[in-house]
Amino acid sequence: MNDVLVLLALLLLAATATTAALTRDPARQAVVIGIMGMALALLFTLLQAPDVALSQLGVGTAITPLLILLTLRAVHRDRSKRETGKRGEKS
Amino acid sequence: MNAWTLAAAVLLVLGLGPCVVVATRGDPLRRLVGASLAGAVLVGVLLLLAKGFDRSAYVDVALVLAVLAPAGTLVFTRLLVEENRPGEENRDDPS
Repeated sequence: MNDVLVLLALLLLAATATTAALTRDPARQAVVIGIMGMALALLFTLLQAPDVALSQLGVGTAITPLLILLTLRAVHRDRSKRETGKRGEKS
Repeated sequence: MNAWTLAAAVLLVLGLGPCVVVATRGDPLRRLVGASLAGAVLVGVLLLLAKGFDRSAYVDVALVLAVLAPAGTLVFTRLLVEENRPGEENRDDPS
């Protein structure tokens, strides 16, 4: 039974990781990466390593997507600033 | 194998599967709904596993996930909604 559960978790992890690699838009990628972190935590729990699963939940579910989204927002702000600067030069 | 781990396997397939399908299609806000529900379902799966393995320490993983998943959803919502309206003040071109 445990082997079946590990197999299911591995399938889930493979599906989410492949989707994260094939997604092009970074905002959508961040959501898929969050789910992938949860699948990885489930796999660690099934392999009798709850402490590793705790670390994975803290880092993979919360911090990594948050950093990706904050970076995206910073890039968007920079782009909009540049556009407005160009417009100011034109006028 | 006991009834608890069997229930965890069933919930993993029938509960987490549709969430992952929703979370891998469509626009970011729609995916966020799937991710949020997946966190809630995974809390149940982890609790069932803790009961099935007869290790009370495994409950802590579910507890931490139950704390982190809604907080992560709130952060995602705030950032994605801000990103979905990029530069509305730039739309009205004064040309």
